[in-house]
Amino acid sequence: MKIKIKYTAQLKKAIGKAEDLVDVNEGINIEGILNHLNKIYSKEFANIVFNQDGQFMNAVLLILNGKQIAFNSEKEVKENDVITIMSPIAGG
Amino acid sequence: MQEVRYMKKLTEKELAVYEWQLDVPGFGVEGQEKLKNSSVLISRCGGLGSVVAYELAAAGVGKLILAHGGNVVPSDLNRQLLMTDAGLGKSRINSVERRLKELNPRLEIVAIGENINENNVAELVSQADVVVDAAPLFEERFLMNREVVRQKKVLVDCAMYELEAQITTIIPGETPCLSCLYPEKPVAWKRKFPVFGAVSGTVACLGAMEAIKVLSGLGETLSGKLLTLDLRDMSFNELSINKNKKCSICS
Ligand SMILES: [Zn+2]
Repeated sequence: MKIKIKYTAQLKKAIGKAEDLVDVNEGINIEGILNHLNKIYSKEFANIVFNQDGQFMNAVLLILNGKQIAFNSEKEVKENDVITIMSPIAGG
Repeated sequence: MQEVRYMKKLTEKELAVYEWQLDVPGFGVEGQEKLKNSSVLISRCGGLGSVVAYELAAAGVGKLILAHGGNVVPSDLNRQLLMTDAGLGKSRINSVERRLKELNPRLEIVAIGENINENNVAELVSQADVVVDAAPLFEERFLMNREVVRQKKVLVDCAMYELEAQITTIIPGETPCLSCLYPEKPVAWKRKFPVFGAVSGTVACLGAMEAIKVLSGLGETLSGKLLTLDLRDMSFNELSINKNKKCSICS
C-alpha cells in the first residue's frame, strides 16, 4: 500500500524533497515505516532521525494525519494516511 | 496574571492611540487596560523578537523585558527590524530600546544587553506575565521553558527555518511543554539558519497576537496545538501535540 510522507526543515534538505510516496506492507506501524525509510534514503536521513546506536531521536516530531504520534505506537498505518516527519527548528 | 494588582486606567492619550483596536469585538477598553497592566519577556530581539516587540509596543502592552546581546552586524539587517544601518557596530539592545520608545514613549522597558542564560532566566521570567521565545538556540529555549513551568507563566514558542515556521502556546499544567515535544536536545540544529525577514516577521506577528490574546482573554490560543506554516507553498497546518507523561520538566 502507498503512504505519503512529508518532511520539514533540515530533513527536507537532507532528502532533497518535501514529500515522498512509499510502498509498504499492510499492518505496518510508525516504527516500521521509519526503518523502511532508513533503508531507502542516504545517511543524511539517518543522521537526523537516528542516533549513532541506531535509536530513534526523540526530538524528531512524528505526525500521523495531523496528530502527534509516538515512535513506539502500535497503531497501524493505513493506505492514504499522511505522515509528517518534522526536524526540530529554533530559528529566531 | 492571577495575582490581584492595582489596574492602571487608560489616559486620554491612550484612548486616542488605541481607538481603532478598541473596536475589536471581545477586546475593548477592558482588554486594552489588561495590556497596559501586563508585562512580556521577549528573548531575543532578532528577526523574530524585534517584530514581536514592535507589535506589542504598538498594541500598548505596558512593560517589555527584552534580552539581546551583542552589537549590530551587517547580516542582522535583513530581518532584525529594530536595528538600523546607522547602528552598525553599536549595541543591539540600545537600538531596540530607542526604536521602541520612538513608537511608544509610554512603554516601560527593562533592557538586558545579554541573551537568556542560567544566571538571568529566573529573574527575567519572574518579571513577566507572558514569555515569547524567539531564541535561535535550543539551550536558551529549554531554559525559558523550564522556568515558565516552574513559575507557571505562559510561553509563546515561535520558531522558523528557511520559509517554514511553527508556533505553539505553552500553558504549564495544561498543555505539553517544549521538553515534552523535544525530550532530547536536537542535534541537527545549527546556529546559522537560512532566513528571510518576511518569514521571521510572519511568525512574529502570530506570536504577538498570541500574547495579546493570552493577556486580554481575547479569542482562542494555540494551546496544545502546533501551527506550522510553509510560505514556499503557503500551507498552514494545525497539529495536535501530546504531553509526555515522562517529561523531565513538567511531569
Ligand atoms: Zn513537558
